[in-house]
Amino acid sequence: MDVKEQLNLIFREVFDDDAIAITPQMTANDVEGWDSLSHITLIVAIEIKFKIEFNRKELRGFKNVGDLLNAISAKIKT
Amino acid sequence: MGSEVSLGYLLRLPLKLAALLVLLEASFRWIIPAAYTPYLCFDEKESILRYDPSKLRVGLYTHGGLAEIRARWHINSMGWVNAREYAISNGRPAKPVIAVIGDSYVEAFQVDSDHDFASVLRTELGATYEVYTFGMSGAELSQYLQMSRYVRKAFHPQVLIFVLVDGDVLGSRLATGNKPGCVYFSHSTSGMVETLIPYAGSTAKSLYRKMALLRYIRLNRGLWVPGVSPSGDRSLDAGKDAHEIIDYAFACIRRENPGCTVLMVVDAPRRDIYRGKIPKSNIEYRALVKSVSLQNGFHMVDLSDAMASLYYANHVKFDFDGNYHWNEHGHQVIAEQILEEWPRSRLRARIPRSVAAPEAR
Amino acid sequence: MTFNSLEFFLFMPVVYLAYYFSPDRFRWMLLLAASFIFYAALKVPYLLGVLLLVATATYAFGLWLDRAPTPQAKYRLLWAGVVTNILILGVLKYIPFHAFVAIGVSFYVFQAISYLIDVHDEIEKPEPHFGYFLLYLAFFPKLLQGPIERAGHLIPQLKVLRPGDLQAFRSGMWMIVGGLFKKVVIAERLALLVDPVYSNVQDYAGISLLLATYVYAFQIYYDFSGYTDIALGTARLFGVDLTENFHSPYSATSVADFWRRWHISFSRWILDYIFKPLQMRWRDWQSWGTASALVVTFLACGLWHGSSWGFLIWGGLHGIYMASSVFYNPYQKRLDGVLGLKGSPYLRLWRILVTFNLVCLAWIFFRASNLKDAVFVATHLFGGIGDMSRLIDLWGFREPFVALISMGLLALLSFLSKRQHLAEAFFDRPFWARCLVYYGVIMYLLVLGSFSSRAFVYVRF
Repeated sequence: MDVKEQLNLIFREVFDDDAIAITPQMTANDVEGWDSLSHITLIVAIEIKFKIEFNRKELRGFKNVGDLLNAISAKIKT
Repeated sequence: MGSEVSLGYLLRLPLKLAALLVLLEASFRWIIPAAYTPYLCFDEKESILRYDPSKLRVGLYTHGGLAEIRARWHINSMGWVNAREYAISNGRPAKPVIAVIGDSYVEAFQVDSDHDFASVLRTELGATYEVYTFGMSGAELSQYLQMSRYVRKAFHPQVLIFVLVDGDVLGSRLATGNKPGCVYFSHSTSGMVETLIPYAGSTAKSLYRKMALLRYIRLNRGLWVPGVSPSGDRSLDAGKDAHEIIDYAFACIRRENPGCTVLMVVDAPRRDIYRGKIPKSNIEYRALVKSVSLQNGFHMVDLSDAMASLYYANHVKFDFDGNYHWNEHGHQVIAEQILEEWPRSRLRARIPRSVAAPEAR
Repeated sequence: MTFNSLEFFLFMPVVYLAYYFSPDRFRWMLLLAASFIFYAALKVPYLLGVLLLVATATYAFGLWLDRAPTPQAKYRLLWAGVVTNILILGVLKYIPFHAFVAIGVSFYVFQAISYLIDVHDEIEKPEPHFGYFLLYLAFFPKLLQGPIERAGHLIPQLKVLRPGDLQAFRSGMWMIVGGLFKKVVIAERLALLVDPVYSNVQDYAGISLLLATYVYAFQIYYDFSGYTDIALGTARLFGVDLTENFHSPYSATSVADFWRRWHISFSRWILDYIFKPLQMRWRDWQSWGTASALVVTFLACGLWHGSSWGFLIWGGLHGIYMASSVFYNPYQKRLDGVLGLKGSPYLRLWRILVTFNLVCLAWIFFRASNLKDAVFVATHLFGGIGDMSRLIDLWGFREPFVALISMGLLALLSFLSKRQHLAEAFFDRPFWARCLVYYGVIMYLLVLGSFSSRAFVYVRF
């Protein structure tokens, strides 16, 4: 399973919606329930799953799912 | 991306604005009449602020967004708001004079010139007395004192009636006083000092008179008028400052008017009466005025009890919605109260002639 | 000077004309000079000094931050800059002085702090040109009551200043008129109803207190959004786009939604700079971490408004509302599903009503003169109807009627302008027809405006 598929699973779990299919251009507006309160739940789930850690600076830089994917991929490699 | 704001557009704007102004000006001349007030002038000889009889003599005063309050005023040839002339022959009037001194409440622009309380007094006492009114908007107790000197010199009144309303006492302080042509009090090491703020007419003022729109904005809506905001702290009404001001002013009045009967008419705390609760500060204030009045041999006419019992009986207000000045009903009640206490005051409140002559000012 | 003053109406055309005829490269200087005059007209001389102090310190810290060799050095400089700003604000606002001493400071200090954090997080580059930076803080349309602008949004616009185009000019003017209407016709009139009750709460009970509170909710909305309209409209004339601050706040379906619609520039600020960092820091505590971050954030929100218990409790209440929603949200979703309510319009209406009442409960603490009064109001809201005659005596029928009609007209206008291209249709009409409309609006403002007390509510924050 590649990173994108794993991330998709996480999205489906966190937002309790089996129909979610993420694309790199997706933003918080496109996913129902993805607001600042649930954002951290998503991030924590990602951190646990991929065994990585984000800092605040990085988090502010994410504009869409694509940025998230790139950051995850970069962190797994190191 | 739309078109730019062109120079042509900007140049056409003043024309459009002018069209709008014409419409507004017409509305406030003929649809909702903007208020007219008489022209002020400062009498250098007498050091007194009054109105200019050589300019507008009659006019329509209006107040409120829809000019709900409308009344005609008339100033006489001596420059005071009154429908009648003041007669002086050979330095002494024919009949004994009752002089009523106060501020906008005595001027009473809000009611027709023959419906204020002084007119009612005149109707009742006119056989025996002349009733002259000397009212000036914005005057405070300190200015009443100044006006009483002018009145004494010019009319030799037998009775002086002062009308004290909310804020007149503390408003006498120079620190807050700002009406040109009026006198204010301040402290110095040698006692109370009276200061006259110099009066100067201004072209800006005469300009605003010409435009109905500006008169409407300033007079009907009370906008953009520099003014003293009423001292919000009611607890000061009976404080040290107030005590000193009342002591000084009343003592001067007594000293300068031997042989005169003096009545102090004190306005009721009408807003508090409508609310149903009169604050302690007001009760103390009125007690203070009463005690100093007695000390100086004046008679105090306290409108509070009369107005309170009347209001609780029939719930009719003594003033206008949106304008706190007395309406016709209010003026009637005041006149009746003064008349009711008239016999008592005449017997008790005469200042003996043996009081020392007034010191040279 | 304030927006609802004669000086402002004389000041604006002069500044605009100077701006219009000025060469491009001088425009920022002109706006800066105008902003200084605007601020100085308040006749509190040291405020200009405070503005310069905040600007200079923040500008310097921004540059140092960026050049710092290590992340630790960067972090320390960030904290130094933020603490400096907070100290300046704290000294001015929280040491007892005359009420108006800190006008505007809360707003541009927050802008300064956001700038420093953005530079530290490398979201923005520090601004090397002091003039642009100073103007970013001092820009007069937003100087006194916000919106709180982000550097990334405002500074780039200040570098390419030109007068707004014709559409911006016209819509800007209408926004200014609309803002005045909201303030002078509606908010001031509603204040006439609220002030007597809230200054003597012990004299009233039950329905009077309830009504006064509901009316206050609308008063503060029209007052603050009216100010914001004037600010945005004015900026638009100068070709500058400021942030929207309000978006039908009382149609919010939850308190979280309310804060996405009320004082938006402020709530985004506390979200980005207080809530998110705290939430990150406490993410191991999951829901508890989020809930605690929310409570702290909204306590800070209350504190920003003033150092009284009333504001703290107001903020704290909102914090509790938001924190509880973190816990019961998942259950609520399930319950809605079970009851088959999902997507029902009645559910939406119910949520709006509940949210509105929760917000109004908090407004009690915001508005009351002191804690004792607030508690009295909160505990006597259901004390019966007996008072109604008193309230009718106090309010009369004319003022509430005019208020309702005016609010209705405004709502109708805003509804229509979304459905059709009202603006285009209007400006297509000949001038004499439009002149009559302008005349009507100005007459409405002058004749039906309420001109007793005049300061905007948020000017004291």
